[in-house]
Amino acid sequence: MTAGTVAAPLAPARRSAAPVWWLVLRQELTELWMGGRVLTYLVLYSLLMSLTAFLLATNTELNLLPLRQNIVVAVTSALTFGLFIGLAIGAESISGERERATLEPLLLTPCSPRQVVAGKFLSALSAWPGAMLLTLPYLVVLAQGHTVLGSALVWGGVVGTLLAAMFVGFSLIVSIWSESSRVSLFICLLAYAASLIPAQLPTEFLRSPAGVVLTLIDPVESASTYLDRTIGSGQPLSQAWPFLASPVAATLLTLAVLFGWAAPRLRLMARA
Amino acid sequence: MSIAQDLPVAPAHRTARRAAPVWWLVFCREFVDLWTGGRVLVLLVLFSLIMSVTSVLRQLESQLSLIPPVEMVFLTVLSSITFGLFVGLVIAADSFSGERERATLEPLLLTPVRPRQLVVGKFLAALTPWPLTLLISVPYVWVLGQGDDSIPEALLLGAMLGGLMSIAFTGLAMIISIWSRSNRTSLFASLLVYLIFLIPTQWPGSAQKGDLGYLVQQLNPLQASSEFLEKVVVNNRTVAEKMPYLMAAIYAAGGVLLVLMLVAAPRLRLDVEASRPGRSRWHRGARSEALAGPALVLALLSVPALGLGTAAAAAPSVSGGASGLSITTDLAYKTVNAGQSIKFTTVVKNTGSTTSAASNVAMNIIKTGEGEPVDPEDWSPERTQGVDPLEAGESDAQQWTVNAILKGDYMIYLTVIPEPAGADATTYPVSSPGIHLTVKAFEKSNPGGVLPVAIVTPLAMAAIAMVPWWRRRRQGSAESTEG
Repeated sequence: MTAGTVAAPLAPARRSAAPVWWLVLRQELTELWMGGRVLTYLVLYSLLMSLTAFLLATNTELNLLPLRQNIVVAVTSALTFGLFIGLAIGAESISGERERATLEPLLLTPCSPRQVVAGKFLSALSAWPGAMLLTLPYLVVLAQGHTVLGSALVWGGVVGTLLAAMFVGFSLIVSIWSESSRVSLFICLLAYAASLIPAQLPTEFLRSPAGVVLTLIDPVESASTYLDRTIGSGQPLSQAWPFLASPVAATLLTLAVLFGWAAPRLRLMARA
Repeated sequence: MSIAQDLPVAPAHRTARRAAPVWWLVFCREFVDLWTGGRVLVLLVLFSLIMSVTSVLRQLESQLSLIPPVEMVFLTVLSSITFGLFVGLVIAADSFSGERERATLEPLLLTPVRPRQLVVGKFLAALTPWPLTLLISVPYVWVLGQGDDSIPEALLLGAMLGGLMSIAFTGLAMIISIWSRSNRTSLFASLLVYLIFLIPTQWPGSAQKGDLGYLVQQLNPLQASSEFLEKVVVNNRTVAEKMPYLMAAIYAAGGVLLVLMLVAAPRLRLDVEASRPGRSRWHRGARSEALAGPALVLALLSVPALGLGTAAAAAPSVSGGASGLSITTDLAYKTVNAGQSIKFTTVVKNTGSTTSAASNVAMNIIKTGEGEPVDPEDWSPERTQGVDPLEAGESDAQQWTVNAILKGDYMIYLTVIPEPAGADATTYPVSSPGIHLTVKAFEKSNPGGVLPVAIVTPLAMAAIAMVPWWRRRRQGSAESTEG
């Protein structure tokens, strides 16, 4: 973020023109999207989705997986790849700027840390709709006109947005605490990898009481199970909701910690 | 790293230091820094924590679903490889970009150090945590494997595969570190590559079958290592049989080493300027190459699958022996393309003089030649069908569907298994004549019409991503013209 752009409109004469979070968001969006960083991530994302879609389409032809299951795998892959983008942007957003001392000019402005964090949060979240939009053609082709496409788009969108908000929020909390972007990036990617571990466990275990508890604790695994039940098995929300509760709760908790506790403690300067 | 103080800087010292080559000095210094600085130890604590958590989970799982000890051995060794790689990866990702950022490499400019020797020293030092991670894993393997006979073999293969994977991933992270402008970039790119290799293991098993699925497995060294280890340790396959998977790991390690030593190491920049944007010729070159991008020209030709099916007359029946049951099929052989389904009917007949017991008809598929073993569950939605007791002379028909997954020569046979009269009795299963199934390769290059989307979407996205770069370049050239 170039602080000068945010700082300038905060002069007393024009302070009421736009809220600070909006100015931060606009500036961040411009830098992320026009700077090409998000676009580079999305190119990588589309390459990974292309490979996945080709493999899944081959599986459909070979009758290896039912079409509904193929769509679940495609949506889950989209989530796994897509969330990574927001996480990487969020992890660097505060600690990276503090390293480069580009946050310090904000000390001269009357902006509240919470508003800075809100602007950065929304801008880091902006990559997810782009990823979801890119996923659309893949899902349309893979669904082959099946009605499962509707529920895949709805639930993929809802669950993906929840997880994206959670991951971006988490990465911002880590970034606020971290002294360097290297540390924040490492912690965030480690947490991301850890959230994928339960999926490695065999199905028999995940069906046991201990496995269900583990699934409910891990929002990513829980979301994946929810998608499997709603899209893959066609279960209604009334039956599958416990698995949606975990990502909802995790997202709300993360946002509460971010805006209620971490954001007010945001330091704009690096420690000496 | 303050290696410069150990190196033969002044001519007067050169004779005294001639005994130790530079790479050895670098290695010793790095080794001491890594191990006494506590960085490796922190990562090893993290490693042992992850191993403990996964071991507890696996033990719980084993008690619930009675996983055989040999499988527990395999899973634990695999975990130690997967997590152990992470330690070397993180160290290597920081090795050059981090030191360049901290300007601790610059003193080496005053010494006659060759970049390749520096890389060798650092590379060997970054590999040192792997033996210890394997050592830490031994108690976990021993406890979870309950002293199973497969433990020595699994550890030996694990050491070999883990060593190869460590070389591949540590080397890759070091290449990225040499090329990266910042420590942040190298760490991010290294972990991203690690995750990209890790993510396909999340897919359900059925999504990784078929020729393409197996190809992806072989191309991904992590998956290939897992497949090799599982088949050799758990399924008692020979190393020779699963050699393609082992070769994937060997090629990965060898390829990375070649690139590291022959391409990346000679271009290593020691000065901080190299890490600053626009200063390094190497970086400028790499950036322009990346922006130019490889020309992605893939044929959009779709080769429709050709229907090659030819059915033969019904096969002869087989006598039911003591049970009086016989089973016939209406198909003797068929040739299909991978992806096609075949349907056939079996008839179970009571040829005896008394009412038969209730029975089950089970289908099995055997590959007649070399290659991947068949998992019938992948090939057919229904493995068994029940048959009620049959009066003398009565018969019952069953419909079967088999999906051809992989090319090859197969024999399908069905077995009637009458229920025994009690715990102290048994029956004689009766098998049908074989159905010889020849499966041709999967020939569709555009499965499900996905290829245009799979090609156009990344291309369109890449074109959009070029716009900001193009605008910056135009602005830059306009400013330089004005200047």
